[in-house]
Amino acid sequence: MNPELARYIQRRERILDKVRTILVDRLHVSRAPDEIDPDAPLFGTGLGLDSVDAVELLVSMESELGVKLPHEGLSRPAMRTVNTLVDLALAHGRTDDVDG
Amino acid sequence: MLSQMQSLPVAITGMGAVSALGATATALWSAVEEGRDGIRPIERFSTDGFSVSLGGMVPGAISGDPCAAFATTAAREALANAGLQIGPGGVAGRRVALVLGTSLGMHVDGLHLVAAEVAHAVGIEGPTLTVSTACSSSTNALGLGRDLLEAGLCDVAIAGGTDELTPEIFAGFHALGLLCPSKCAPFSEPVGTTLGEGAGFLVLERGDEARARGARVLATLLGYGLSADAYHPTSPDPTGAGVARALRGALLDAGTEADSIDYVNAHGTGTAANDAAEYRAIEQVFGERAARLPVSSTKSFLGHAQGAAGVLELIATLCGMAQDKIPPTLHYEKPRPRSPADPVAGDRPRVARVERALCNNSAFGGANAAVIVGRAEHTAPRQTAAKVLVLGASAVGPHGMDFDALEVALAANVPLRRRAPAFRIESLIPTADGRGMDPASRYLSAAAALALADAGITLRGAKRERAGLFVGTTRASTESEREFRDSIRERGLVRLSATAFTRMVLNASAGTCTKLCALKGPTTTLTTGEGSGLVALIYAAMHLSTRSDVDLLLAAGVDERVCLESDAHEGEGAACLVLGKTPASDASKAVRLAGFGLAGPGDVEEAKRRAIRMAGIDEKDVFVAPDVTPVLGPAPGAAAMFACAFAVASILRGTWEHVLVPDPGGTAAAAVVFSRKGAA
Amino acid sequence: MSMDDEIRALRTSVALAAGDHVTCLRIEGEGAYEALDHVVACDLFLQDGQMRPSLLLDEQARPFADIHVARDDESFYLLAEGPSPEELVAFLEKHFPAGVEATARRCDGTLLSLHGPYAWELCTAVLGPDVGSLPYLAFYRADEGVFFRSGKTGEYGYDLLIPTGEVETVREALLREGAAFDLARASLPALDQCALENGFFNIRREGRAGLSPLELGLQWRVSYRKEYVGSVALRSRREAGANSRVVWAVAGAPVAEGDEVFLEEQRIGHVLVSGFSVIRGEWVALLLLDRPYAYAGIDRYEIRRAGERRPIRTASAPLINNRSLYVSPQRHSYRDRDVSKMPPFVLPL
Repeated sequence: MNPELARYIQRRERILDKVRTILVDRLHVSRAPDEIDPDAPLFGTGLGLDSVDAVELLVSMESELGVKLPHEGLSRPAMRTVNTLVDLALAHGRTDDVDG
Repeated sequence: MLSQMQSLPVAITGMGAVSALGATATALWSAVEEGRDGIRPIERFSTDGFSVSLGGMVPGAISGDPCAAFATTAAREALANAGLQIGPGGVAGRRVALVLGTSLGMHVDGLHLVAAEVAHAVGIEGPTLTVSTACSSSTNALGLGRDLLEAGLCDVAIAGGTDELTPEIFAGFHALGLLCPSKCAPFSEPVGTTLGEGAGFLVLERGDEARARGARVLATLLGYGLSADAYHPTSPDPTGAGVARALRGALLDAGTEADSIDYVNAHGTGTAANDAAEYRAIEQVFGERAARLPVSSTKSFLGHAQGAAGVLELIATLCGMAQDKIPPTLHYEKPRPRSPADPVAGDRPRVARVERALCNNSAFGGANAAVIVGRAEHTAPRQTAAKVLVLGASAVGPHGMDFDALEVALAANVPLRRRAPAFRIESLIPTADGRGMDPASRYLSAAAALALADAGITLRGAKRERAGLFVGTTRASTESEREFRDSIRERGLVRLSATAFTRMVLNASAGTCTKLCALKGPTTTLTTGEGSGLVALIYAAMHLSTRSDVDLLLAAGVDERVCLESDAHEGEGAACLVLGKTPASDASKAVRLAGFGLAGPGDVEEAKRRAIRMAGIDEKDVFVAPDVTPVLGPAPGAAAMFACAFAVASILRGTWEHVLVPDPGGTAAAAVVFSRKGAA
Repeated sequence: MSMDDEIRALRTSVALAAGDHVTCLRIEGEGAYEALDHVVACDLFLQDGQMRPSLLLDEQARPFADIHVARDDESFYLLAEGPSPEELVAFLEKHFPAGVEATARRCDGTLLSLHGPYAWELCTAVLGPDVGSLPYLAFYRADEGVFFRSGKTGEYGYDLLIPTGEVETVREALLREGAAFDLARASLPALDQCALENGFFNIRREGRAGLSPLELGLQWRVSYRKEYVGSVALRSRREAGANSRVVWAVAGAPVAEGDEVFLEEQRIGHVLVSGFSVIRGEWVALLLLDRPYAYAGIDRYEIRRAGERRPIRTASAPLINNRSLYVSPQRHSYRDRDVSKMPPFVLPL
């Protein structure tokens, strides 16, 4: 595999792991991390989060992954699935690589 | 059958208010008359880092605990306004009850001590009860004050509420995105609420006695209703069904129809979710009249005074009624769709005669409370009390979850020194999602489910709306509290944990339990410190026996350990009784809740005497239930309820005919007598 | 009306569709919960009046039906797509445990479905505020019908079960009142395209590929704590590990089902489903990629078809920034909408 692609995938995996950890530890999602599909919806009955959890999720994304929302308007499109959170962290999280 | 007769309703003979509009009820009303709100930039603490800086703060310097200071000032004003003196030459202190509604207060190490301080300051020596159902606390407190008077447990009730706007509460609402960037504009744009604070009290007396002493009757308290949304920790049921149940309960209790209500003082916080759900409820209850009914929100003047909101808003309503005026909704400029047709928009009260007004409040945990007041001359039906039966019992604690294990442990009389057992809530309530539940919620939900199972009751359909939950406890879950404190320490106030914040209200575990067990009828959470559960049981018995909108009440005490050491001698868990009443539940089980008594702090003898007298038995025939504390460890909310579960079991087994469960209590002494059905 | 117009209406106002691709069953009896719990793949954590999406799996853990299960007191509704009503009832009767008292019968009535950012407002106008104020994944039962707040388009969606005798009256009322909402009628292909754009599982498309929830990214719809039809197979597939997974993608040039996906010279998967998104103005597709390559946000992959190479970019679903996210039944109305304040449909994070 192309090294640049391999690095991207590795980075994506690490952020995915972090997001799953946030969901389990901070948001009390009662699932094993590998059951949390990247495309699982966060709200409704996907992972069962609700509006109160959304706040906690954003705060955790900031403290764990350094995500700073450039503007309020991004919070809704970013908080749809696990994968959209990973996208958010890739675009607006800490630029230094996330440690494993 | 319950018989109905018209009688003089409880009279409101005095009121006092401390709010953003000043330190008296007069100051509150003159500001409303002049269209002046009390919302200003907050100065008492820093709002740096928050997107909102406004609050409805009580002006001026405060000495001591603001919650107690506000309440003491308001209670003194109310007593003076009623022309009542407590003590020599006036009413005896031990015949005066204090019912104080308060929300978070962040007084986690003794929420009941605020009421104790206020009682002490004004000379109250009777039962001192703290209702804590977040933002509906004081509305509920008024109803409880009424019930105490009608049950003869006091001669005067000082009922109302107090709350302080603390940085934590401000930060919690901010984190939840509930605050309005500008002054809150209920039913209008922009959405969001403005927090406030203050205290308000009403002096309540039995109608005939108030008139006999020549008191000026300001208004009558005609009825009240409680309900559980059984929906969500912070969001109201958007269909409005939960609020509608409280409104209907109040109407039924007042013996009146929706058509007789001339004005609704709404909770109207300004948040999109509350205002829409509340108006949905008003539409459901008032039907086509909703299109012509004046509905206003006093929060546009005061901000959201949390636990004190209901009583302060009622005081605004009463001041208006006295002058044939309706308080307006300020800042109403850009109406939201599907909001009140007549929000009384403007900055001056509307001239209109109001015979009866309805005030509604809703709260975190889904606890709704509505109260109906009328002009002095109105009467209301009073129901004779039905007999209260114990249909089922449960106890989840250090002994385990097995009811019999409690008896074994008590018989062995050895300190258990362990936590309540670990269990999955789904194993007891298969349709329950246990995600994020703290131990207090789990214990309470488990105890409720087990008690219902013990009673052989499956709640279906409309029966759920006639089944409720009354809880006595002393503090929010210590696990949630730690999570909350840690989030502030680690991330700062601006980024505190919103999820943990929602569990910091005393009624959080009741909210979860009502949802999981689908208990949609009346709900409340109260505290007296020690003995809280037993007091909740007494309130449940009073409430159940005199109302036609409820068939079943679950009464429970719950505690979660504070100490982290696993072998500490500290109890925890929950014990629950399912109460039913004659004639509906006549066929089942064989234990009656035959008598109860409440008295001032420490006066357990008086509480016992009352309970035994009410049970109509002789003291020598009564077995006194043992104190469970030496075995289970101290458990202020649940201990006496564990003893009640034991009492019920021993009667069913035939060991005793009559068992007395006394508790000297914290701010109120309490006693309950259980009897074998049919025993003389 | 073209499918593009149907989808435009669904994404901006409201669209009415027939619900005949959905079967509505009612499960009743003393053992309704127990029977259903034995068959449905998710934990039945449901309060009265709530519903949740799940699956019925076959013994090999492949989706047999895409379902919403709703709790009505001690009974349940099952809204199912995939099998015919007869196949569905036969499946349930075969798999309900012996000795448990439960019956599955087809509900009387006809389903209509409404979707769109203002579907709630039309529902309020025609069926009343109790329907319009329903929260997502809740339902309301009245004499006039059973109203489910569901949908698989990313917009406010309602499945309305109307007594067959009344359905014409309700349909006419929806069309009449809907005129003020610029209502369009939507076909099943339009709904399917919207489901694809929003990352909703479609049993008629990718559901036919013989994949399990593991490859389909649907583990959130199943339980690993209980036994049900297909649970044994699913658990062993999980232990073995999935070697492929679905990923969404967008492309400028046409993409067709069966096209192969390459990274340089290596074949890494194929296209399961595709369609042109009039809202994005490009093709959208669901790919099945070998596990090491199954990630969103990659623009190095290519589609190869008839010797031609076309770039494709993987992306996180949903691929649409739905207007329903920004429309609040408590604050807005179609008449007063301000399109200039609506965020774009495609919003890079």
